[in-house]
Amino acid sequence: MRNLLRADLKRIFRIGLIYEGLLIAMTYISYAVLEGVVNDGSIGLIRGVQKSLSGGPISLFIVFPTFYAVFAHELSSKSMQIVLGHGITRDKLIIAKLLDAAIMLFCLYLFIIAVTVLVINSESAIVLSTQQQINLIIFIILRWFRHFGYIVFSATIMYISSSTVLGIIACIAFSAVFKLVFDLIEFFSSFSLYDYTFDGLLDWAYTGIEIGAVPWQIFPAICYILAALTITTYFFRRKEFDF
Amino acid sequence: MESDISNAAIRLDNIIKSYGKHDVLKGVTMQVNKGDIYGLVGKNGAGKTTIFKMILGLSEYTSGSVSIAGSQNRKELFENRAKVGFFVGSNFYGYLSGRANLEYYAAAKGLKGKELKKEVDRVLKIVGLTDGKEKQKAKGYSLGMKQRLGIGNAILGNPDILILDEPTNGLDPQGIADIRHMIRRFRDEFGMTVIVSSHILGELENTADRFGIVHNGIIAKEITQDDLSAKRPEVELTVSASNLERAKSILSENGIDILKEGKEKVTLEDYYFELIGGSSE
Repeated sequence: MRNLLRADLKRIFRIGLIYEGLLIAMTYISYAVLEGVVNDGSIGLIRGVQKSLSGGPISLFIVFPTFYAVFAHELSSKSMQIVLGHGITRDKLIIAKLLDAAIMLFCLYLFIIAVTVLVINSESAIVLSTQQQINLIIFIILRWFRHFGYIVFSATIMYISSSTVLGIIACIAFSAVFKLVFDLIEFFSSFSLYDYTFDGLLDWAYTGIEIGAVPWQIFPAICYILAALTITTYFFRRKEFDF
Repeated sequence: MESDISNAAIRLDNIIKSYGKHDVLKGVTMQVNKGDIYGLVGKNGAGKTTIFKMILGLSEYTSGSVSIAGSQNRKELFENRAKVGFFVGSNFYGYLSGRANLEYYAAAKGLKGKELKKEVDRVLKIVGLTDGKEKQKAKGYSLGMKQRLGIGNAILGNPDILILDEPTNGLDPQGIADIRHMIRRFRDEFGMTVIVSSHILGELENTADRFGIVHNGIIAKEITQDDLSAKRPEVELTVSASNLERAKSILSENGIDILKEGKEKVTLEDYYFELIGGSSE
């Protein structure tokens, strides 16, 4: 599995869309931060980063390219058949692909964290306490986790349906549309389903961290990912592969 | 049928594959011996590709057993699949070059650094993807080049067993001849056991030395080149046209009946290669 991971990451890092997405994402974040700093000073930087990373656009710039890079060519190239035929188990293949996505996404977020820390420490006009800086980094890491979750859920749909297009549509839907749907449900029914969703739990986890409480909501959020992984492997084990 | 299990590279015992009530394979039993070039023949839809899927683990069989390189259980079967290289069509990443594709699969097999580069260079040379062709993106390859790349992928790491599913599909005569030559080379030079499928019988007859005939989801018959020859007890005698009458009178004087007489036809393949150059060998 380690060999597959290594080979896959080398392949994935050759896909230009990732770098194009990152460039647009950094421009978008920079604009939001600049706007925040101009309006609110140092605290505006935190708000700018949070606002830009919370919206749908960033998902399109980061989550979609990652999903595309890891999974989009898998079904069309039929490389899975080759790898499975060489004796790797189906469970390991799925885990390797999801680890690819997690590592790829983490590299992108690491870049965002590095730039953020660099700006905070090099710009004398921005003064943030250590706690504020830690909270901001935790916020970014939770965003990474959330976006990794979107990729896991989308991959589940892609593997079950055997359709890359459906996977990509799901990826965009999780990133940009779902919150809107739950907001609408809440608006019309006054029932907050959102709090129990993967997104809602992670929102509450961050709120918990901000006020110094234990972010226990992370555990059910992890359960969501494990459930998706279980469903994916269940279907993938029974999948018939065509040449 | 050859039943010396110790000599088996691949053995299938009573494999049944059902989709609902429909049995695609109805009890396939076959054995490919080490060093064989085994031709799997049958019309489209006979079950050739399904047999390959069972061997490669890309589809689960309903009942029966598969053994690769003497594997005795599922764990060994999984492990021994690493000894199998296979070509099942053009399976590669189009946005990567031919070389990068081979590097990807070589790395996935655990090759690294100089060893990886050396192996990829070796394979590119064998399949004839050199002189800059290896640097082109695979999506721009002609069908023949795609087939070569797929075969190159299959022989990475010099596997003991090679499975080729319709490797000459859609190729021109030169491409078919090149692949036929490659298959023989894989066995004779690299010691691989080769299983190759085709629905073009003439093509396999020139390549394989044992054949499994797939019909209605079973191996209807396994035969060898010798069995084929034995099916034709007549002997063919070729003489030049100028000596024909003399030869006939000699045979007649010695009480030998001539069962059939006819002019030897130049095959289209021979004519083609004579016209454009090149060779079917």
